[in-house]
Amino acid sequence: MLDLLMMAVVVAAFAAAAAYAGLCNRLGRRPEMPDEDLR
Amino acid sequence: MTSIGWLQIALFTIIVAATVRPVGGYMMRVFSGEPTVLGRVLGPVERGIYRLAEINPAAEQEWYVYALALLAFNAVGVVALYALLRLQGFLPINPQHFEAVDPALALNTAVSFTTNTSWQSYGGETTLSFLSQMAGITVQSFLSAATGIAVAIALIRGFARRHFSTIGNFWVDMTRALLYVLLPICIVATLFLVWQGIPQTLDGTLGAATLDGAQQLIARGPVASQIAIKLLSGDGGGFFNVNSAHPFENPSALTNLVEMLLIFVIGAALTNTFGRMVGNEGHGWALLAAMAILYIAGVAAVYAAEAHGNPAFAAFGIDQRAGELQAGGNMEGKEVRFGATMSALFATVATDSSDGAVNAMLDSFTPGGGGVLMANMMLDEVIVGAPGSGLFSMLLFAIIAVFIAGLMIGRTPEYVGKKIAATEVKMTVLAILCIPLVILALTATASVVAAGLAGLGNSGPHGFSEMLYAFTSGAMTNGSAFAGLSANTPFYNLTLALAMFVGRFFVIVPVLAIAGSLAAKQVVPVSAGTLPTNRLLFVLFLVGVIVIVGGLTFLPAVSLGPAVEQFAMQSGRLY
Repeated sequence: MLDLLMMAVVVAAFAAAAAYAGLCNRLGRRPEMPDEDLR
Repeated sequence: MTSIGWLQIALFTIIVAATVRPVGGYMMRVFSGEPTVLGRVLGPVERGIYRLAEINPAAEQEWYVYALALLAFNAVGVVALYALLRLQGFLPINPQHFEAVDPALALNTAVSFTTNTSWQSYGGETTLSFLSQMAGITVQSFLSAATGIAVAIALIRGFARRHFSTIGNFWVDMTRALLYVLLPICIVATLFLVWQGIPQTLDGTLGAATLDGAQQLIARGPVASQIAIKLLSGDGGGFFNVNSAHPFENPSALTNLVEMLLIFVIGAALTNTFGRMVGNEGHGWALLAAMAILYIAGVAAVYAAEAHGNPAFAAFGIDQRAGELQAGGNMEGKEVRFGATMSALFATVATDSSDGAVNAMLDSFTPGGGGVLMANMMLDEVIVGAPGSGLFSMLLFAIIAVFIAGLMIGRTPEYVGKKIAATEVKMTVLAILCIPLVILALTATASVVAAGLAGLGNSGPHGFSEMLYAFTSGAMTNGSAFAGLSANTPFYNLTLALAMFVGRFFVIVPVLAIAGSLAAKQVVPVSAGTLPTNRLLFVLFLVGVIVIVGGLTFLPAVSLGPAVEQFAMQSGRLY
């Protein structure tokens, strides 16, 4: 039973990391400021 | 401190520096797909692996696919190691008949070795079967190091490429890191260590009669093969509980030197690989120079603290002066054959490089010396670091440095020809902030809950240092410990597993996102307004940014632990 719980924790942790990658992907796709000097 | 001590430190530093160009150039050829000296022998093996695994080495991946492949591969690694540890009682090559590892400890160990941390809440020679040591711990040391190298190479490609949507193929990078870099060095190192007296056998413990006629059990096993990769991988997980302080893990002055060299060799050389792949070795030398400044400052501080010794010992009439018959300094928890100098150097190298190996007991260092070791880790693995993770962590700080420099003059920051825009800065901040968040939150939790306080071996500021060190070591994927903390409890096994997981994968994901973003960009030509990032000014600026970010993040916590303990020790109060 404890083994199943531990495996569920591992699956949840990696699922969270994959979701985090999805979040980073979304953040990276947002339009940025024009690529020119601020001055 | 002695002149011979400084000479030994200088000699080691020079040897490391001499390896940077040859090893860095070799890795550049390996990961660029250029012919190498080992290509004739290993080329068919590499192609055979691709055929067997149905990998098309020419098919590259976008960063997101690369990251998911990495996460899936490591998830399988955690599950496989967990299963091995839980089933070891039923599996062969277990001459001591060890039973299954406890679930929480098995999870902690599986996450620890998959994340290249090697935090060990167990004693290897009294807990793990030889099969677990060889097929579990040793294999994951190889795989986790290769994962780190793959991520660093992907980030380098991000800087080096123009208008690419891809950053390489994770499976190809892993295969090449294992076949061409880690395995050849480990085979040579293992043979050297066996020659020096480290055991490599599948026979169990050996009975021996002592001079008093008592029976003593001497632990041995497949040690040498594990020690080579524990050092080279930046992993540090020893076969024995006391790691490289054990004569069977580190039998001579020569093995001590080679072990330290193995810890640093790949991390230092990757800076040169970076410089070569972005077309200007100067950029690599600049990063290495920043690492070197922090390394030299650290080793000087630790050596000074340990050579000065503990003033409280004077009350017991203990002579701590260096002389012909003793190395001098604080010798509590240190091997007489290594003394304060080599213990200070080894501990600095190991905490700089995120390798948890030790040849002395860090909990017995003076508060000042131990505090510097903690600070080495708190600087985010940037001082050489583990293979790959040291370089990509340093590149994150380089991005922060050029961003701050850009803010000062009102110009879009650039680094090695790539404009650093909002995406890169956001990802960098995510990667840098998640580690202190988990360290400080978990240390604060452990400081107030009964389960956290129950494991302490010392009270007062030293007890706090033990907890702070543990979570710092876990999240920074180091693995060494202030061993006064009894961490083999459900609370520490699970919280440390969380720290290691976040410290590894929640950094790698944004690093790969940066790689993907940079690879798609064009290269901006150098102009009069470009900040030269291969000069001394940038090196000093980068060091300043690293120290300020680390200081602002951790100074309050360090003040409550090693800093206050150092002042207490000087006034005669010990904890």
